[in-house]
Amino acid sequence: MSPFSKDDFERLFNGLFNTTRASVLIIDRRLHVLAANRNFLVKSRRAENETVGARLEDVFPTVLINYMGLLEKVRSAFKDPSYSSEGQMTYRAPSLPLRIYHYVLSPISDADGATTNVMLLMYDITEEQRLSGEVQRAERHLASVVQSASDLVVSLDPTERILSWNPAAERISHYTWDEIIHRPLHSLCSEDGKEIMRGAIRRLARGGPPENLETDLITKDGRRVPVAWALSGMQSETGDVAAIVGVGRDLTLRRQLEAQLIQSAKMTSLGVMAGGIAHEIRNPLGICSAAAQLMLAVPDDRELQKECAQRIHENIKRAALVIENLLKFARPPEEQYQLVDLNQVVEESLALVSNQARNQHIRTQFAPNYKAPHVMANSSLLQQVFTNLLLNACHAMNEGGEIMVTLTATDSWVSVEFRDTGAGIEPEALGKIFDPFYTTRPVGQGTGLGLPISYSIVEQHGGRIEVKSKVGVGSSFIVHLPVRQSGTPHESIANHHYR
Amino acid sequence: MNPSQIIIIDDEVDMCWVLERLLRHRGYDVATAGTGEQGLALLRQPGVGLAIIDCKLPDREGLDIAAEVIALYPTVSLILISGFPFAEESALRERLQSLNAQFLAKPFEVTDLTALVEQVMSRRSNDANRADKD
Repeated sequence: MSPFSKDDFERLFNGLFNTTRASVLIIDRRLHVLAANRNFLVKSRRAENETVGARLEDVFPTVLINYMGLLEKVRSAFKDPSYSSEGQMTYRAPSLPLRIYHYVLSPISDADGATTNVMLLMYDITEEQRLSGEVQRAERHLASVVQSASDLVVSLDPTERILSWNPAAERISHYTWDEIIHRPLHSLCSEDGKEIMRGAIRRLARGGPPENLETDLITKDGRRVPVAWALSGMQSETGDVAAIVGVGRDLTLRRQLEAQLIQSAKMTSLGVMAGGIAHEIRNPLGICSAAAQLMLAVPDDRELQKECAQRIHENIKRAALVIENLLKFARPPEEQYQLVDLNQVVEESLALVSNQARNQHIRTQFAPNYKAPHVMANSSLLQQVFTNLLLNACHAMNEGGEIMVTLTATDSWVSVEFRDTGAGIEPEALGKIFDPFYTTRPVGQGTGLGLPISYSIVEQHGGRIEVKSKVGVGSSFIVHLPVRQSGTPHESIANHHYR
Repeated sequence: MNPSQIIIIDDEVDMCWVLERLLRHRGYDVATAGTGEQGLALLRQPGVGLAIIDCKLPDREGLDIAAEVIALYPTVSLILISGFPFAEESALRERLQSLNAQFLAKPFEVTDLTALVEQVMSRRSNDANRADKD
């Protein structure tokens, strides 16, 4: 015995019929509407008395009925108890925006299995459709971003083979996508960059964090283009690395600007040193001139003449060395990084500023440390950094003082410390000293570029500059440079070439 | 007594060496010092008539040494020499004038130096002779 009475069933049926999210129409054999649920009436903006009993042609627009073949479908459903039809229909109710429905048309049978009516269920899928359209638009937008980006955008499979290659990559490398597809990305890197690139991709393929590196790209026509890469792994739903995405920025222009900046800061340093340089050359010239005149004054004293000649020779060598150092400083940076003995770079830098120091009654001290390993570096750039730090130290000691240079080394780092007994740096200024154009010197005497450029040079070497300072006691600038183990290239060092 | 000794103060050893021999060759009594303090020590001895001082010394400014010499020994004459490119600066000119000092820029003609030295020393010896007569 069913616990429900007939009334209970009717209430339950009406409840279901009217609360379902679908719009429901029950159709009779004459193809008239037998019943329409509340949802249908609300969505189609129709009154119940205009709908129930109405012909299907009066409920739906003719165009829709013809397009769907609705009447034929309903007739088929009456003939075949196992009939079912579903699909999409778009329907615009009066004064409402177009809506999209998924419909299911199926026969309703009685207890004996005879078809009594046909039911049309309509599910509103307008939102879902709109969202997937947006996803498509977003995807198209994203694709066009990649296509029109000025940076290289590359995707690789986890074995480093190139899968996609955007137009910027084609433009910069001169390789088209079909020439490059499935080639490993490192095959386009310069010799010294190949291992760096492979190492980074290996780590990414194992699920490592994003990598930033700089290498030279060798173009199809053999040019070197410096590129800063940001590489990251793309994870699949299972958490495996499905692909690696690389965005590369062409650094050619930045390198040129940096080289210009470095050159202009160098010129400023030369300006500061000019007075000292004049002194450095005039002194030996003065000695040579006086000694030559002494030789003329004592034509018969062979011994004195010989001594004069020796001193003239010594002082000419001294002046020549000054000029040589000066030229070394002024010439553009060397093309390549080499193994460099920092002792030598420190000594050359000290020679350049020795006069500036002497003029200001500053003593310089340096005990070479020949046990320190050589570092991969561009010696002329490092010389500029050291010279700049030494000149800054001189500037901090107007009343004279001392500069101590020490070279210490661990297995992985070589550190050069420049310690002065100068004025020191105010704590609030300490955070600004590496900012471009920050200077405490009068207009025309400092560009405010010396330290920022030094910082960027040291950073390019994979190193860093540490500063300690106490007002009234002095400052200490420590340049830390990485030691490159033979055979394992230092991965944060990129090669830079200035043209 | 005629103060005829010349003191040369210059940290350039070779410059001291050449000037010492040049001036000795001309018959002067010469002593040299490499720093300002050493120079002042030599000046404490009697008989110094002229000090030739380099403007840049490792311990003191040559001009400060010159000012001290004038204050301590007003009868000593001064010639300043320098490799610095500031001979045209009016501040330096005024300072030299106030010290009653001569100036020579390196490199200089030895004849210019000896002419200056002779002029200074003969004036001294004239003064000394006059003093003797008085």
